[in-house]
Amino acid sequence: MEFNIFKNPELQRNAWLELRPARLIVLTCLIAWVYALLFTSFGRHADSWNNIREASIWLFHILITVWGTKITADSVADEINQKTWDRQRMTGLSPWKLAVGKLFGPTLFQWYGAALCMATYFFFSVSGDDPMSHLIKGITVIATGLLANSLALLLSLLSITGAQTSSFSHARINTTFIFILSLLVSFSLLLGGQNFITYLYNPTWYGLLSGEFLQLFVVLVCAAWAIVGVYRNMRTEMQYSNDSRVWVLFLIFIILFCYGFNGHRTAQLFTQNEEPYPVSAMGSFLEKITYIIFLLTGITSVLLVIERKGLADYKIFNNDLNTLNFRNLDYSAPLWLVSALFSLAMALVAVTTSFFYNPLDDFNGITRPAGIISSLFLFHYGQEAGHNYLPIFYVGTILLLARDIFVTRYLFYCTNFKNKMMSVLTYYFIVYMAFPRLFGMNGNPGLGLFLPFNVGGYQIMSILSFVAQVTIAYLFYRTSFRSKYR
Amino acid sequence: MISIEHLTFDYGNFLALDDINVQIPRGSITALVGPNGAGKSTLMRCLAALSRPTSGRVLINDIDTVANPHGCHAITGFLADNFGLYEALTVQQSLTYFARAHGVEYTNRVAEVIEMVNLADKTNAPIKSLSRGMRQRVGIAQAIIHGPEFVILDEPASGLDPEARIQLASLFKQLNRGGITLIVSSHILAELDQYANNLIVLKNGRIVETGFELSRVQNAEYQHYVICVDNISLLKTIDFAGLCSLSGIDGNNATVVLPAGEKIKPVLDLLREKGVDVLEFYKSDSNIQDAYLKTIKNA
Repeated sequence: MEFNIFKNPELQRNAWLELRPARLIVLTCLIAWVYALLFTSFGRHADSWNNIREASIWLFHILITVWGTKITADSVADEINQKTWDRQRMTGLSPWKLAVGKLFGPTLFQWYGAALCMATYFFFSVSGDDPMSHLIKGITVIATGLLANSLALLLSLLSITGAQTSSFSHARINTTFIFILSLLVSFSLLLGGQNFITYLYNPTWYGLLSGEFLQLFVVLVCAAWAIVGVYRNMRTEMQYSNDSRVWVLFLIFIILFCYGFNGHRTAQLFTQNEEPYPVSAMGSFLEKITYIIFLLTGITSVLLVIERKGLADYKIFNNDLNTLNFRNLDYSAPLWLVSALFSLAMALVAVTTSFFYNPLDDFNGITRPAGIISSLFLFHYGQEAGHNYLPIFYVGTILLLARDIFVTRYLFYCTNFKNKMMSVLTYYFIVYMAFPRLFGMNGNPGLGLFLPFNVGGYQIMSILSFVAQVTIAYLFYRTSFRSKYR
Repeated sequence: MISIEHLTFDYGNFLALDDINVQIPRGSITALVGPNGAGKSTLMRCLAALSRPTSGRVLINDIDTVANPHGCHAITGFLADNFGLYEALTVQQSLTYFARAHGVEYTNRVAEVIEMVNLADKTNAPIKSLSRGMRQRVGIAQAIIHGPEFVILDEPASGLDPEARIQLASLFKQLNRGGITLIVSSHILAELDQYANNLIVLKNGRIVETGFELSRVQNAEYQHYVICVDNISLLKTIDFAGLCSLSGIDGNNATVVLPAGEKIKPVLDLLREKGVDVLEFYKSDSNIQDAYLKTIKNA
């Protein structure tokens, strides 16, 4: 019933605003004009069907993946900016109804145009060659649009929670960053996923799925989790208590999901040809764990920027932590902290495993270290690192995450910057882009001071540098926080 | 009844509410007053189950605002001080939306509420075309569309012209007569005089005055009259000899206090006898302004 315009008041309100006859007629004519142009330009030969399919996909992306994502990112932010959000939160709408209303309501007009385009796409797919492949591609494109929209709404909800509690919802919400991030993730999965399948591997997921089915599955899974996230955050907005169980489930799912990818490596990295080569079991395990750590620290970093808990929430969490009230901590703990703990746990697994694994053993003519391990191991400007390098890499990654946590908390709670999100993004740019560029040019070991890469064999110097950075960041944050609030 | 128990709200760097304990009786019109930054808006948001307190609790008809916010929303209406409306919708569409969102049978209820807030001639007008006073009434209509028992209004009269304020006061009395308990914050104390019968004074996040003291004092024991005269200096020299006492002077207006049940005529006769012309006089239902200033001064 939540999807029925006549049963969901939020959808109906948007239908009043968006589905006006004049707008629908103009959009229909515009889409018809594009197709007519294609027909007259290419005639009725075989290529024209392909062109029409391609045009349909592009029109869908313009309408839903780009335009729709911008609108969805703004859907709740606009309510806050226009001071109507509190009234909505007080209605009897269930979180699920409001989530569906916010996800599809403001983009009803765009979905109408997209439906025309995809109907055309499927019509020309069924009547052409390889209809199943086109069908899967079409569904993947629709799922990508849905993913971009739901991700934008999710990030938007995450970013407003703090603003609500800290300043009565008077804060204006800017969604440009959220819009760009949602597009990047969605298009990466769509376009990057195709490259992933075509050029590098022939991956399977636990041996069950492969090829375009696997890509569709990945996009659908991401979209489904994004929608779950939207629902959970809508609950929070509507004052329902949310514990962190669903987030923990999500992180466990991420680990199991990523662990399921298997595929043949090509030997491109070493021999510039595409012959498959086997990978040792431990090398493969470490490679998967490394990707998972990257993903978990990435999620933590995004949450450090997006999840803006107000100071009131922060204080409640701090009280629960000091009193070790685990029941309450389940509700008050920020999601970035839960994610950081998972990153730490996986790093511990990786460090322990790496003590028993020497990549040199894998260079035996039969097996090779798996891709990412090889990259890390060989990142020495042509030299191979000592076998003790891998544990240092994982420890370094976690130390840098700890530093980022303290610095971002300092920027959010202890400074008077008006645009705190921008200040955090600037910080990330400086430490991960500017400094490594500045100090790490031409194989300068200075790179190792800022990133956990093995440059010039100065691993110990790297670790000492990271420990110093974490200590300084922590002391600076603690002193500033105490002097500001006590 | 609304029961507020040990309510504390801490913004981290600012304690907005500090251990508030108060009860708001059903059927009252409670004026929530206090200087800027006293915590009025935070308290109202906690009452409306929109903000989760740091500690303590609010019970609305025994429903906890934290444990069951939706239960509270079903019996509470809220109008924020800086509220927004769906500008592109008509009055009817907007109210239909909120009625449906509350799960209310909307066909008759929307018409009834439109009539109640006196917007029948603007039913199909887009909200963006309405005056400020009318927009305020649409806001109130949205807050009462689901027939709440309690309506919380944060600075509802700010920015309204005198005529619109009078209409608003009349609407509040009408709603109250219909059984709705109102909690109204305002900076315009004279306006609260017209309808409030209960007072809560907040200062620095704490309650400094509360309950029915004001109405009890004024309605049960005393009555206030405002008398506008031509010669206020002469009036000051008059000995009223127990007829009344002079409680305040503002320009040519003098406020006198009489024991409950006494007539004003002997006072007017005495003034005429002493050579003071009375230009006009009226009974002041209450005197929140005096009570407020006295309370804040003593707090």
